[in-house]
Amino acid sequence: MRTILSATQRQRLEGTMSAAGSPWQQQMHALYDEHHGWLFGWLRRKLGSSDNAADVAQDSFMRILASRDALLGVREPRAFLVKTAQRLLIDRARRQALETAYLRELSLTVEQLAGAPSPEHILETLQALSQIERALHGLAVKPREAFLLHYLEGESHAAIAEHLGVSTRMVHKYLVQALLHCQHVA
Amino acid sequence: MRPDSSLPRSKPGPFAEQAAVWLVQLSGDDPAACVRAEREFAAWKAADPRHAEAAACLESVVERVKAVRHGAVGTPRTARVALDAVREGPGRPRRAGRRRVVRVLALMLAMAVPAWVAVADGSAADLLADVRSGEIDWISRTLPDGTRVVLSGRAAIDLHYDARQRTIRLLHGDIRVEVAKDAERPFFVETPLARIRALGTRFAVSHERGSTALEMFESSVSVQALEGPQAPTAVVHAGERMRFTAQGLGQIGKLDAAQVEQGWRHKQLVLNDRPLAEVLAQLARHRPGGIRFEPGQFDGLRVSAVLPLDRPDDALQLLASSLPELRLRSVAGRWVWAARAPEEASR
Repeated sequence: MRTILSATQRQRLEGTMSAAGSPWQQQMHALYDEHHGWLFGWLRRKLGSSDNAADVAQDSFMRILASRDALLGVREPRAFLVKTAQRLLIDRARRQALETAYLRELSLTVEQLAGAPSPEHILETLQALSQIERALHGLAVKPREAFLLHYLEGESHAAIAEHLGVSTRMVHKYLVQALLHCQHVA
Repeated sequence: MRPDSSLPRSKPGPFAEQAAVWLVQLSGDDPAACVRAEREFAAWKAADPRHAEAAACLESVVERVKAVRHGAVGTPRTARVALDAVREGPGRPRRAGRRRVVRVLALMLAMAVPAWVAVADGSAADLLADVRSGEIDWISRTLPDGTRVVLSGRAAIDLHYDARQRTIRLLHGDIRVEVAKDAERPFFVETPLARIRALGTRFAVSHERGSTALEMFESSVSVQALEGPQAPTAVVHAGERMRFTAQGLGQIGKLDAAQVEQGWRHKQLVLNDRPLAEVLAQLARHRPGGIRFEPGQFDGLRVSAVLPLDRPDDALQLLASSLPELRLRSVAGRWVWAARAPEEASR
């Protein structure tokens, strides 16, 4: 019922697609027509909120549009949609948690900061942090700890070795591992 | 010690590992060794463009993190606390894969209903809306049928007009509608929680995550709850207000219609004995950067006031000066936290 896009929304969504009648576009149309309502229902049950569900369903299609993920090979479109929506929800939740934690911490220490930080500067920092967070995602605890202690907090290899209770050789290994892990998101 | 329990992503290129080893040596504790490593690293990079490429990729990662160390607002510690807050809990799953996904999903679902009223996130539905207003805008439109609508407080609407009916779909925010009479085509305002049907009348509707409010200024409308056990209907008259939630229809309350409507004209929020949490939520929609608070802590606090909606910061100060229980804290003038002051402080 409320899952249907307005005519203008629909046009604009379609306006972002190129080459009228391309197989990719037909796939996208079919995917939208057949499964948007279903995805909305699924998300609504999952999230318990129509508002969030409508947003996330919409954003999921936008993400597929933007990424031009290969639709032609998709055998189970609903599983594909659910995966896209889940990834989107997780990204959102992580970004939101990061922002909340950073701002809360900042609000507690703001009196000690030199000068008043500008909102733009804070947003810039948040964006950088979000990139770092994504890069580190999935990295094991100790390499992550070594990486952040060294590059973010400026600790020496020896200090990190002591902190983690390992040799400096091991710290080297952790740092190499962390760098290799991060580069794919860089 | 296990070699690597991280998620396997795309395989690093053949030279990435060498480049990483060099980079780590460069930042060692022995200055003389660092200088030596730097010289040899430069030679290694010069030896093959693929070496240089692998090195540049890793160097950009390091630069990005160092930029936060030196340039971020707050200390590296602030950044660290934020990053750690997002990491999956301390009892990290040893078996990667499905369990991890389930855990992150559980975390995500717990956060899906935020206790904090945060800023607008500019979702796609929002960007595609037919008419939108920002936090500090009051936007007036006359629709094709002569109906007049004013949007404020980060409102977004879609219009669905056809030969049989006229519908404004309110995605979120505050609108005031003056419906043009059209006996042929009923007029609806629809939110995810409510459908409001009018023939010709004046009223205001607000919608934000999980709550729709209706304020009647003239005549009456019939309303239908779209969520809740069984979609019940009711009639709301001039001088009455009603709230809809996921539980369905709320109680009908009283309203000084003339004063509230006057408030719309003067960009004021007219409040008569309203819960503080509700008032803060409404102010938050009019404030760039929003207002962060946990609604539950304000239980029992109620407000009667006329607040300037076009100057939300002044409105907050006014509230705080008359409510000793309300404590405000802000960062950079943009982000505001509202909390309940401890008992002894509020006396």
